[in-house]
This record gives sequence, C-alpha cells and structure tokens, in this order.
Amino acid sequence: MSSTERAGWVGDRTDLTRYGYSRIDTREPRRLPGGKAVALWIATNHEFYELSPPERPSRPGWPRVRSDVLNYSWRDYGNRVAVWRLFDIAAALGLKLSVSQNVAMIDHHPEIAEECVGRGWEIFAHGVYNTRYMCDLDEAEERAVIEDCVATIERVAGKPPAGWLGPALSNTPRTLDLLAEYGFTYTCDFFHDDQPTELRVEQGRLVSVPYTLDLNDFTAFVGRSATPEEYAASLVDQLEELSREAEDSGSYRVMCVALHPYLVNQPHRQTALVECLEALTSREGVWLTTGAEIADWFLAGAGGDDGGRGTSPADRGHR
Amino acid sequence: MNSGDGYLEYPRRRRGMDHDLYRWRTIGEAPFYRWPGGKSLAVWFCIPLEQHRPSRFVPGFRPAGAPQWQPFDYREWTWRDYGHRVGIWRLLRILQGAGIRATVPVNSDLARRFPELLGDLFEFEPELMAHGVAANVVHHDAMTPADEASLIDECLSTLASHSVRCRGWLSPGFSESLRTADLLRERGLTYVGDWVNDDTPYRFTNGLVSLPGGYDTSDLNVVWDGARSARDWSEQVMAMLGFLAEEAAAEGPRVACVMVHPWLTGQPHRVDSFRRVVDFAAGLDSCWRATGAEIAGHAQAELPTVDGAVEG
Repeated sequence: MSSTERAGWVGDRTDLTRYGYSRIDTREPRRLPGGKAVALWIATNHEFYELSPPERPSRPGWPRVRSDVLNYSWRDYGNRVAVWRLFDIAAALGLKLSVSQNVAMIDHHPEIAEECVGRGWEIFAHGVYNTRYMCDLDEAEERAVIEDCVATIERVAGKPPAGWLGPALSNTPRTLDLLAEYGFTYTCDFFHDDQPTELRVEQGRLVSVPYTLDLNDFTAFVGRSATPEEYAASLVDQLEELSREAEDSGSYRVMCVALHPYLVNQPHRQTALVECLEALTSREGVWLTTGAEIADWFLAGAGGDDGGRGTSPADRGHR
Repeated sequence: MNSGDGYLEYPRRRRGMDHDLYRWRTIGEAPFYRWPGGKSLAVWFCIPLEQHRPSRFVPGFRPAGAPQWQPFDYREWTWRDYGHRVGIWRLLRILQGAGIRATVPVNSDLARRFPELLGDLFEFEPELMAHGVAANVVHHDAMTPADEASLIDECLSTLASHSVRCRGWLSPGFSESLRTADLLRERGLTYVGDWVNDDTPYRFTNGLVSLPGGYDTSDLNVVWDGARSARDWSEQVMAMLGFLAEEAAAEGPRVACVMVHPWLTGQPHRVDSFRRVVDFAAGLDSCWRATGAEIAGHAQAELPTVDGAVEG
C-alpha cells in the first residue's frame, strides 16, 4: 500500500497515518542508559541558503523580492562568524552536538563540516540547500537528493548519516519510506511526542526522535522576538518539567535544543546561551547524547518488550 | 527528473560562495589590525531618515516600517514625519552630548521635500549616507540595469544638489539587485551597509567595503517587528557591545552598528533607553565611536584587495 493510499482520512498532503494513538503517561516505564531520566541532545542547523535559487510553484525560495540581501547575509553570518563561537562554547563545556547539515554546504565551506567531524559531532542530513525543497520532487528526484545526502556526508564524516530533517522542514509522502530504505534510523520532522516513536514505513525501521519547533531558536527569536534571557529561561523550564515528569513516572523523556548559529550565536545572545547550556548540561539525571544515539538505544530496546516503541498495538505492526 | 526545469542542478555548488560578489572567508581568517588610538571595537550609530512614496511598493514586498498605503491615511504617514520634526533632534542631541557623530542615511525624496532639514542636520555634523530615492523603492533583480542606475543617479544627484556628497550607501529595505554593488562602485561610493554577514569589514570583489550592519539588534527588528520594549532593545544592544568589545580585544577588529529610527526610538518614552546605550558605548575604553565612512576608510587601508579590485 502506498503512503498516499494510507493517508485516507486526512488526505494526501498530511499523511498522519505513520503512527497511532498512544498516551504518554500510560506507556511501559523505561529508563535511559545509566538510569538517567532525560535524554538531552543539541541539534545545530548548518545551512546554506542560495542567493538566487531556482523556484517551483508550491514554495518560493525567498519571501521577499530578490536579491534578499538582508536574509541571505543574515544566514551567511552563521557560517562566516557565528558557528565558530558555537565551537568555542561547545569545547569549553565539553559538548558533542548533532549537526543538521545542508550537504551542499560541505562543498561550499568544507572547513566547517571537517571541524564538526574532528570534534566527534554527529552529522545528519538536512537536504542539499535550505532553498531547495522536497515538496514537489518526483521519486527519482527524491532518491537523487537522498543519495546525494548520504554520499556527501559519508565523504566528510566517514560514515553515512543516521538522521534526517527535511530541508526547511519539507518532505513528500514517500520520504519516510525512502529514508528507511536507505538505512536512516531516525527523522526529526515529527513534533508529536516527548519520547521517540517507531514510524510505519514500507520496509526497514525508522524512529521519530523528538526535535523541537516550539523551543527552536528561530521560533523564539524570529517568531516570538524573545529576549536572550527569555529563551534561556524557557529551555531551563522545559528541562525541569521533563525531569519532574520522568521522576514521577519512573520513565524518561527526550529534550532537544535546536539551534541556528546565525541567530543564537549573535553577540548579544552569547552570555545567556552559555549560562543556559551550563545549567542544562550539568543537571542531574540528564543523559547528554546525540540524535543517532537516542535512535539506536530506542531501536535496540524495542525488540522483545514494548520498549516505548509506539506502544499501542496499532503502532507496533507495520500497518 | 521529470520536469527538466533544472531544480536539482547546482551550477554554483563549489568551494566558497554561490556568487561572485565577495569571497568566502571565516572571521578567524580576517586580517588583524587596530582602529585609530589602538582601539579594538568600532561602533557606528546609524539613524536612517526615511521618506516613502505612496505608490511604489514592489508587489508582495513592503519593507519593515513602511506605512500601509490607503487613501488619506494620515496616521502612519504623519507618524513617520514625527521622526523628521521631533525624534531626530532628540537622538542627535544625545549623541552630541557624548561627543559622537551620527551616520544618517537619507532618502533623496526627503531632501527634495524638506531641504531645510538637511541644513538643520549640518549643525550636528553627521555623516550623510545615500539611502536610495525612497524607503520603499527597493532595488531588485527584475529591474533593468538602466532603471536601477537611474535610481542611484537620481539619489546621488539630488543629494549633491544640496551639497551632500556621500561615500556610503544603504539600500532601501536591505534589498539589492545582483548589479547594485558594481553600480555603486562605478559611481565612486566606497562602502555599503546592507550586509549583515560579518562583525568585521571585508572587501567585495569590486573593491567596495562592506561595513557590518546591525539589523538583528535594530529598533526596527526588536521594537517594531518584534513588538518589544525599548528597554528590552537597549539590554540587547548593550549585551552586543559588551560581548564584541571582549572578542575584539582578544581576536581582532570588530564593528558594531547601533541602528535606530527617529520616528520610533525618537519617541519620548524610548529616548532614555537610547541614552543608556549611548552612555554605555561612551564608557567602553576599547571602543572607537565613529561614522561609517571613518570606519570603512580605516578598514579600506588595512584590507587587501581581491581579484584585481581597484584601490580607493
């Protein structure tokens, strides 16, 4: 059965049939490695927006007339200036991050990806450019994009990517099936839970690892115009609440800190960011980890028991 | 690939940038030098004076702060004029009190409309920067080269007719065409403030200096689009200045831009926040408080030319 046939009740363009219903506080309790309560992972988006991208009808490459020097140069700041501050902060705090990587950026600015690899960071796929969307691709095109992501990341990292975040969060109804086919273990495009979920795919296995839109620095700084201190406080509040729930339930939660250096590593946000990351990463009960490690842990435990895998009978089988 | 529209072709996927306007380098690779007096952080106060044209919006794009156009809609148009009559003088007096010269981008339509305003500006000795003909007449790729050139010429010649000769350019709406940099260079302009991709100046391939702009911490972004208070704005600007002062001392020259609009930050209840920012900048020992042209001029002497760029 194809993805579009499955989509039934919500229509082709939403495809919300990849998981069933499962209430979080009725699942079998499970603890993280080392008995930890909250898996915390930090995802940094390393993106390349083209100054003059080609366009297809469903989504314009830039929201303003071209050349959108303001938005282009704002994002370019991330690569020229800001990401280097993030490297310094991560080194000082001993952090290993997961990189959501537009793979063309590996060709444009190889030194940044090489720096990430040298620091032992995980690199996962975020499409080719953040100005080329998945939405209108046919299957051959989509395969070409995914194969490009796998090959280009493998070239710099020595291994293929385990994870996927759609470029500018774009996907097609077949993306998840193709990801599983190509050996990916997780996607970040689902925002429905504070624990991983195994998703229904045509073949192989694919897990949704919680990423975040609500606590994304873009949503906070651009969408809500949060001050640096407000954003930092919301991250700390998030971890406190998830920790409390995990303790109360004897189970676990996952928290993602999703960052864009061009925003979060602006000069006026550095002090608040460093204080916040110190507080988050030094908290008791936190498993400081990566997206790939969360997916691996989840998949390994999901074999014999419920393992938090979907948990409703409808979620367990493939369709 | 079914469509044959080249959507998955990447002709500019290569080492460096996806265009030829400037070269790729990280800030860590930028030359190390100091500003006059051995200072490490240069700060420019950029206060655009804007005039909008009632009927020249590019379809689908209205720059931040541009009034909505409706017939006989006095509120937004007169609100912008508050900046010209009242707000700008508050801001300039505060800067003057701290011994700081402002950098004032001017739309040439405003010079045409209120020539006496330019005369009044001169007593504060600001640097005037060319800011196009009007704040909502944006330069963009679909323009013909002749149309764009004539807009730039109209701006420069109008300002020149009021004895204003500009070295710097700020584009309306931070929008350029791919030709803008060359058109500016051909007309003798030496620096541009549209690009917010660095905290230290760099050269375009044609020799033009890119002076770091400050949109993220501008009052337009924080107070207008972001709907935050002036106090929140001032806290973020002071955090920016403090951080860049430390980074500059350790790593190399940095530039901070403090951008405010007279119709917005020039309102009485916001002016004290501006005063706090000015006092903070004035109290930073390592800080050179200068105009855009002064900073770009100094950087120009320190920055190597690229790709056969012309010195100047």
